[in-house]
Amino acid sequence: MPPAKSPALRPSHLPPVELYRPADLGELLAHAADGVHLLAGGTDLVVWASQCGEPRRLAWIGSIDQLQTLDITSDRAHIGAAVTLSRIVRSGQFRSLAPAVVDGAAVVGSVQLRNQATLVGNVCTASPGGDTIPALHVHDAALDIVSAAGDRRSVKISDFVHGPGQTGLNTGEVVTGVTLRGLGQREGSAFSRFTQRNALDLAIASVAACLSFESDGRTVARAHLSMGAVGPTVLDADEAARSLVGHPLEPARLRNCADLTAECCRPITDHRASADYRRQLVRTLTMDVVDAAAERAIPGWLAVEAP
Amino acid sequence: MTGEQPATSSPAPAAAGVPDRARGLARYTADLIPPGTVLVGLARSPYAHARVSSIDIQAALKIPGVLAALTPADFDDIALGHQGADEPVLTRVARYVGDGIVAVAASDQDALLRGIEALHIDYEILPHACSVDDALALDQPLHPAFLDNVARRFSAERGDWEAAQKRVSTWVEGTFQTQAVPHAYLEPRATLVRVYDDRLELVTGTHFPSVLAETYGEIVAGWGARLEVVTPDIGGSFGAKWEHPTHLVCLAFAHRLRRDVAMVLPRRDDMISGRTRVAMRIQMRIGATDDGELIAKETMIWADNGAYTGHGPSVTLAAAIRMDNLYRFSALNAQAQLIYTNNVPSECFRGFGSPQSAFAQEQLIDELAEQLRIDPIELRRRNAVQPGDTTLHGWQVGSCGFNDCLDAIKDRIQTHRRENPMATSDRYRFGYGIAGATHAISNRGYDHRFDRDMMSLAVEPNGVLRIESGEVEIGCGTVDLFAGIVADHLELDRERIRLVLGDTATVPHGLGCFASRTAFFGGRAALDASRRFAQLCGRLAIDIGLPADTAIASVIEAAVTANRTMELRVTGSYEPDHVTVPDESGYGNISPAYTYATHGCCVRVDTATGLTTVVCYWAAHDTGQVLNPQRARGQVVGGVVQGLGFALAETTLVDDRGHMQNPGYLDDRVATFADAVPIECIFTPTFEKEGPRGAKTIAEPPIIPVAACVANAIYDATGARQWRLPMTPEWVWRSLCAKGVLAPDRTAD
Repeated sequence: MPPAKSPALRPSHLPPVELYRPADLGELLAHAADGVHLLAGGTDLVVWASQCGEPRRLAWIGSIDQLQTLDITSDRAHIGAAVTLSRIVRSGQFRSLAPAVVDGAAVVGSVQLRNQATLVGNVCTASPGGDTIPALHVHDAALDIVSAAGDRRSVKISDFVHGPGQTGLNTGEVVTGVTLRGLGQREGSAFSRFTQRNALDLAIASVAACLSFESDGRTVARAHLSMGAVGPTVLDADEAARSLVGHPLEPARLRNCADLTAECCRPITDHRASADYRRQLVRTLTMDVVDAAAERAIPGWLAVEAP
Repeated sequence: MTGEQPATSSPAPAAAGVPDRARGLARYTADLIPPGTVLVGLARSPYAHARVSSIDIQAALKIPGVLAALTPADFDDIALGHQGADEPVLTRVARYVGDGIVAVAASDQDALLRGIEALHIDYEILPHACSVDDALALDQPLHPAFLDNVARRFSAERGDWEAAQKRVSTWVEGTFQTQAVPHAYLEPRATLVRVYDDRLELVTGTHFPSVLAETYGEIVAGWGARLEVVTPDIGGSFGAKWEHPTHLVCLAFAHRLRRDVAMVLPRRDDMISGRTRVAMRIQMRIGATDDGELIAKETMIWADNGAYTGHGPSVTLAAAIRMDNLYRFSALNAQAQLIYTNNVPSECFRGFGSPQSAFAQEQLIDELAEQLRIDPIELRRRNAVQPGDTTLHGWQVGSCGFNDCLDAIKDRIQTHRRENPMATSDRYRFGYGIAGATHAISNRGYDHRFDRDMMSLAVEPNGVLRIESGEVEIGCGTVDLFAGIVADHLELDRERIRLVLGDTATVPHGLGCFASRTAFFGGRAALDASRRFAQLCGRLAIDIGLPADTAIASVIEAAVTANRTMELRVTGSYEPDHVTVPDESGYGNISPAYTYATHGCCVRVDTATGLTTVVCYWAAHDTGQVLNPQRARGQVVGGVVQGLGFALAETTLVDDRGHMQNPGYLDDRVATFADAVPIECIFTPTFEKEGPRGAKTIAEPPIIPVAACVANAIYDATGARQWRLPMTPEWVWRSLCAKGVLAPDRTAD
């Protein structure tokens, strides 16, 4: 969890830390109950620890086999908490099941970061701009959580992230993985984000779309749109998504849908971008990802003129 | 005496130093700090402008591991800065967020941080100004001697302005804003001080070891100690790593504690207290006749000095006048003021003010071309400075290949246009841009005593030839050229030559690596030393009983056998005789030669997001003879990519309290490998008779025209003129909205 506030002018320095390497989930839960922070890829946590001088007690989850699993069936996938983004990006099977998630995982940080960072870590960081979260939304993902007492529960991702850096994880609980729904027939998904640099950057707006078509191959049967970096959490654009359902995906309808997403997002102005520019990006990204998702659902389909 | 005939062979094959860096073998200052070294840290001001009303260090000193603390009172008589002498080592008045107030030394990092947190410092907050306009309006001087906050004013008027004005039929004008960017070197500032009896050894990555030795040496002498400066491998600088208060803090602790001390700035600290490029508002107008003769140019500059004076004065003067020397104007009028603000102190940065002024000038030349309906390359060609010219600012132009550069870029753009019909759509627009540049080599105005370089050659007892130079290997492999020149001139095996650099205790004086001077000045000194060495070898040969024209390698071999290697030692030097110290207005032939360049590019602008993608980039340079094509190309590619960062992304963001909002490379978006673009380097060789083997220099020129070149391409693509840097997607999008060039269904809210 990121610290609420880092002391303004404290020099960045990683203090000495106590590092535990639990061999199984039971040991990990014991550490978690004891207030030890969980270390997955560490690409966020080590930076915070350097900036804030804490946490100083960490338990690394990487040696727990159970958390390294990447289970893929015909219609769903389970990604263990220690599975790195690189593993997801490299899995062809996973790509055909949830292409939008791969779109997001593939642009996090840099190659070196992705080799280290985990998908579940990206979710638990709970950044409004987390690159995998919008795609997990449109794939109806749920977090698999286990408590210190061994009780298991499953929480929808939209219920899990409460705000920047805030999740619904209770003290002593551990996220063991995330389960998501794979694409069905005539269904496609895509994610796109806007950054000012081609690597090592954070999204200033992002959109994911999942779209399925009726058997006529033209009429939209189901749609799910989700937006990142334009609100305190990733937001679902339900009205915009509904506007597509039951109709062929024509340019005017797509433009209208893009306008609806731009209207329903709640961006802020900060040093990265202004609110109205973020709205413009959401509008543009919506057109791009709906187009890309449709193309993946029905290859050869091009709703709007290609650039 | 000139720089000799053209090179007959390539003098510099693979780099000696660069592969070491690439393989991770380079040892930077931080790598040299042994465990157990005393660590130093600073308590920094959280306020942009505040008087320190009280300091209590007692609680900090009680923390186990904390060894000592220094306060402003320990440095009362010292002020840093060659051109301003206005920066305290530790300050009683904080003038920017991050200004150092108290320094703490401790035996480990944890104790150090606890010690700093235990300091008690009270402040009386003063009104602050983080822009030049606010500073000019502030009724409180940031430095007592400068009541209006103007640190320096410059004025340069050349030619007959009244007469020239009458000949102008068309004026173009604009006000351009350039930004402060950190130098973005990979190695943060790091300092190690070793103590040997009464001698202090300062180990730090700097490109000015002899300058630091001189400046700090006088201060340290006041403490009854001596100083030498050692430069290990440097992880980049780009103009930033001159004097810095942290050096003196470490020297003082080492002297007081009689122990080795070290300080490595965390990235954030380095960025808030490092230095930046001088941000400028440039108001400019250029007048021409109907048939495209450039007549008059008027420039007004408001430059942001930041809290203290680095080389802002020279940079501002350079921005006011240097780019004028690219064209044959009849009259020039430049006024500039350098203004104190509560921002991070500024410093020179690759390009030395010219990237800023080129951004204004080269866009206005394009504006003029459009208004006069003349091709922009043709307009530049007609007015280009020529060999033999003496410009209005007193530059005596020797070799000049500006026209060749323009022709090369014209050719590339025409070919690209022909071979790549552009798929312009409502959303994506394509355009081409060009921009020119000129630059000096060294700057006679820098040190009024001299501008020279020295190099010694000495044969070691085993017959290895040692080259000793006060110049610095800053990471481009430049000094390796010295070995190449010596080996080539003396026909020696490169394996039998050893370079000794970077320790002021042992090497001859070198002014330092700045102003694109190292290859030129060092190269000439290497040639002079080689000639002298050859003469010496001739005399020794006769003495030993060999023919006077015996090959140098054989003479060295004979000297080893005869135990007479100690006689083979010479020092060569180079000091150009036709340069002049410029007057206050910058008039003078400041450089032994001048370089020229033209860049061209093709961009794609996404009108829906404002994102500019550079599709193709061409950089044509007149750098005289190219001594090492691979290195020269490396400089050009590096300069262009760095320039693209300056043009499109990098900036320093400061909030209304004066806190830097982006003190890291996440939000100071220096270009990454993924942002590099296809770049073709074109060398249009001239022969510079003053240069070593006809060479000039390539270090700074490649960054100068980039922002202007991209801006002109964006204009060509969209019709929206770019007045402000960086040209981020949002900013370009806003300029498109203002211009009404967006696709109808994608307009702004």
